[in-house]
Amino acid sequence: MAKDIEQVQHSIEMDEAIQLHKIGWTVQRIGWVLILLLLVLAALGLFGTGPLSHKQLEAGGNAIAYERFARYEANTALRFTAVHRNGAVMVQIPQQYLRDFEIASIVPEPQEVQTINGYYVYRFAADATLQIVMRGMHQQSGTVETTILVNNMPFTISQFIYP
Amino acid sequence: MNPVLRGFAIYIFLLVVFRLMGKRSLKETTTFDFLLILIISEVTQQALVGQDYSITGAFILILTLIAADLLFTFLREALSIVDQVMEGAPLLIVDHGQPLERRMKKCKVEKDDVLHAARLIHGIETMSQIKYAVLEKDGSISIIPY
Repeated sequence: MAKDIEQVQHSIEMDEAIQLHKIGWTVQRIGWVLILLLLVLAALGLFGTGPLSHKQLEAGGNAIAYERFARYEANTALRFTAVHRNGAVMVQIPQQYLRDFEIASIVPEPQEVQTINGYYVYRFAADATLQIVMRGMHQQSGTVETTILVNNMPFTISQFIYP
Repeated sequence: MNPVLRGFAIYIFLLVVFRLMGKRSLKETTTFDFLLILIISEVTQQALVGQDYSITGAFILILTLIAADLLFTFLREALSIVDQVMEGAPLLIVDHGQPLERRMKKCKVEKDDVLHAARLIHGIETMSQIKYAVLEKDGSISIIPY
């Protein structure tokens, strides 16, 4: 057990509030441990960009990679891997999702964009498996859950957007 | 996020973090610490303003920070415990020429810091010439000579 601090009788007119100092030192040390813990978790991706955050879903040769944890108005990306069918790849994203996710760029550029049944439908020309990167930023904090279709294959993604 | 909530959240966060750093941390400002403070202010500015460069947004944020400061000033005046929790309390660290080492260690104060303050204010040469040294709320060291 740590030694207690020195008890002193002095003639100075001041309130040392020793008990408060002791509580303060304990809280300070707990705070340092919490800060360290938070930093380790942040480095691992609890607040985005790291192994805890990176998520990849695969089905039928198609895949979608995204950040499970993202931050408000910070750049993030959705990455699709899609097998072409008859020289084309189709990605369908719900309009509701894109209401709060501002797309900055899509690489490669889609050949055509349509709105069908509440989905933005992006069509890409492809003669092999296509890698698509959709970069942008979330405009709303909170939990987001949506189903994105890649070549009609549904992928349900769930994200938490920090404020 | 709403600028009022954003401003208030950042005020509280900085208050807690700087309180956890301990009161001596800012008094022992080295050139590198000064640089660190500049970087912290730059990061804070980005989080505060975000993508909003409007004059209205700036007015709201300035008012929020001033209001938060006024609120805590009012609370500190009304409740002494809030003042002590936020600002801390003075602590005796030298008693009749004897450094109170356990107290100094807890506050991260070195004997050199005490002697530095003693030389600076009173031209004191040795620890034995100090009757009391007090680590004040603002992190400065007061020296009371014999």
